[in-house]
Amino acid sequence: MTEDRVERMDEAIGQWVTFTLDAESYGIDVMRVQEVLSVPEITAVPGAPPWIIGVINLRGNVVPVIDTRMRLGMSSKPPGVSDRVIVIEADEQIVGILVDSVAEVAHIRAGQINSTPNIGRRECVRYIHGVVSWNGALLILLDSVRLFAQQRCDHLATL
Amino acid sequence: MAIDPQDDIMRDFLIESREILDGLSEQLVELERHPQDRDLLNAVFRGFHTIKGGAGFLSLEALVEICHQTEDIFNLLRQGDKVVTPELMDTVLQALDRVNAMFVRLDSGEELEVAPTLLMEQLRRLNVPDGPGVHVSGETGVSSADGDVTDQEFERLLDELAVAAKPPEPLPPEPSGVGSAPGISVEITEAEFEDLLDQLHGEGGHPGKSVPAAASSEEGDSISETEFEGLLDQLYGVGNGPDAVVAVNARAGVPSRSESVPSLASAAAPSVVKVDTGEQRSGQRGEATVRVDTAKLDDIMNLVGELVLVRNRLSTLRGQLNDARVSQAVGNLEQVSCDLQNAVMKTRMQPIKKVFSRFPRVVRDLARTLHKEIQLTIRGEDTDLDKNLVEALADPLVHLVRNAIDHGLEEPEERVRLGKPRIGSLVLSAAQEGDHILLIIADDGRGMDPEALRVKAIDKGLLDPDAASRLDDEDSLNLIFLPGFSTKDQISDVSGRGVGMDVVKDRLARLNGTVEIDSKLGEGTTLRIKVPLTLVILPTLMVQVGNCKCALPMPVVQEIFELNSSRAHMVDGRLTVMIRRKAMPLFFLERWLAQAGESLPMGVDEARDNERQVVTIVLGHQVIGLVVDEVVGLEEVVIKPLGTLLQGLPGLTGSTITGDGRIALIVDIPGLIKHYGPAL
Repeated sequence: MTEDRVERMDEAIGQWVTFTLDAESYGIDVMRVQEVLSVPEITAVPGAPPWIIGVINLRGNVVPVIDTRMRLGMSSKPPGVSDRVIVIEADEQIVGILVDSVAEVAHIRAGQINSTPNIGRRECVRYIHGVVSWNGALLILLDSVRLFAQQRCDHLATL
Repeated sequence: MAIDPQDDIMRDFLIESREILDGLSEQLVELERHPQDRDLLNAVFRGFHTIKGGAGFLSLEALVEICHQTEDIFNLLRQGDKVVTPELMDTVLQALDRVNAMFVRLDSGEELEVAPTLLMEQLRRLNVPDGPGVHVSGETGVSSADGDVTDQEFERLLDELAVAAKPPEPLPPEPSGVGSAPGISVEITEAEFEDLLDQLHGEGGHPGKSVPAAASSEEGDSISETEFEGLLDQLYGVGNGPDAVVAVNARAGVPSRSESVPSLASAAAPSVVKVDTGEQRSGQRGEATVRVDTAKLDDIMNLVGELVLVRNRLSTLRGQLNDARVSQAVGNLEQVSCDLQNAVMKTRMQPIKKVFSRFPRVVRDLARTLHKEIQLTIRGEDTDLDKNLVEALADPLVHLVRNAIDHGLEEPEERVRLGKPRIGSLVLSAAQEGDHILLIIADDGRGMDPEALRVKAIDKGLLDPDAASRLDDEDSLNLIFLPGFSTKDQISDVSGRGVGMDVVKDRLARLNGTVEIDSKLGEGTTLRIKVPLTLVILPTLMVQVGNCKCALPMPVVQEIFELNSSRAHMVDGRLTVMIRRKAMPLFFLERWLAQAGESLPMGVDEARDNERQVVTIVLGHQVIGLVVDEVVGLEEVVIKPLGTLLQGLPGLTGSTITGDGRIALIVDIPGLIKHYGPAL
């Protein structure tokens, strides 16, 4: 009941899957997320852009996996036990993104989200949907469609 | 009326008409060669007529108008009131182009534009008899030949009938739309039709007929001219059988859409209007074919692909399990899945005719533009190959044919001077050879001069003189596949459309196809194109390199031998082995994979090298060796695209999933050597 009223009062509640990269928390729209996997065997693809680690076999489908850290301008890190691949569907393609760990699903009201502030890291900004204060820390919400659309352009330009 | 290409009726109309249009362009060109061929004239007439009927039903006025005019011209032609001239053909072909263009618009759901007034004017001007009509009259005349009844004849027939029985009944004013020819009614109502039958019977015998057509909506009762003509044909064929049972297709308001009349042969016996003396057996004919959406076939093909992968996986497991019963079951599964795969592949097969049928027109137009005389011979047009492949081949083939005509074949005068037949020959053939299709484009034109090609390549800076001098004649011919190479100094508007032979070769390579050139100066050029039967499943040679498995497409694989480093020599900085007295350069797949982070063993490890295998690959006339760690074996793989993010990477055709569930990369060897050659 109370939740219903809240929703009506302050726009729709979005659900965001949160994950970490280094010490920072990120979120991605749950509607885009298909599943979360522990890191499967990744087959490297020669000639691919450096931010694409390779491809995985997702039940018979070949799905590319992106090094999210590199994409967001951080340095790569050696594989760890908490590493996960989040399989997301964006822009009519299925892509996996490699993250340090997956935390929870956050319910966030649209009104809480601040449009992208200037948080400095250049590569990052264009993929950001917005930021929100969550559990006393900053949660960066990513725009999954832009995350890949942009890359495709980069990729084409190098051809 | 809004145009909705998804509408069922519209979609059927589009599909139907496409088939007719494909046939028409071929028939028209054929007609130019045999202008007196009545069968052809009739077939063309029927083609335009059928499209007009459907268009009329769908209220596509612009289309009706142009088809109508064209149809009328052919009506005159087939009655012998007019003769085929090149100018007439030009106009009619233009009209056909315009009709084709209209269908393109319909496909994308756009409203039709009215045909240009100029074209319509030309058509109208042609739409008059050449001289005094040589009409055949009377009943005997009408039922002569192949039982064809023209509009005029039909009208006279009605008059005669009317005179014979009752006072003439005036025909209703002509509605615009379906099948309207000036002054000739082709639309009759059910009542009139019944009257007509009554008259027939009143004359011949007693009324004992039934007309189960009778859907009562207004447009539903109109039957198309085609049907009616057929009906009359049948009546005449039957003579004056008193108990004629007439069954008119009861599909209300769909005049001639479903009953296309692709050729005259079938026109003589329309499938819809059946007139039997005696018992009624109409409507009982079973449908032998079903139209299936290609997307559904693609789905089925993908599922079969999955099945093949599971089968491969089970086969791998069988080796480990060592159980006789499992073995047998898996063996059966292999057999069945193999049959299934073939059966599904067959459903997707289409005759290459679909592509070939456009060439008579292409050749004719080019010949006229370039003032050349060409005899086009088409062989093996019934060869079947995968639907997607048929579509993908169209553009490269058109380009090659244009090239052959523009660059290859000489002008008639020059041919005569050279002692060749005046008319140039162009042969287009297709045949299945094992697991691939061989397409040949051969002309008897001027051929290519290897020396000229070498000079050209140097002039264009594509090759240094030193390298050029080392090329033999065969290799020189392959120079035309270099980007930026065009054998004519000036780009003509015929073959120089900014697309070079390199693009053609790339396109074919993407289809896992290859192209070879064979040319003799002064005698002509032959192009051999090999493509696989299907695009989805590919026979490959699976090899192991380091940690990775790679699949090498079988069409380019020639043989396998063990690397013997004592026989290998460094030539020009590249390890080379002598095979049958020819130097064969070696390329190392591991160096390609190393870019993706595979560790690369440094230095020469002779012991390791000697255990390795060399797979020899044919690239045009060049043979190269690919060094791999181990040859795993032959495997039919299902091509899995790498997705948008990784599309178009040089050297990669796609990927596949191996029997053990891992991913193997399918190597596009020509692309690999082209892009990474020096580094491998």
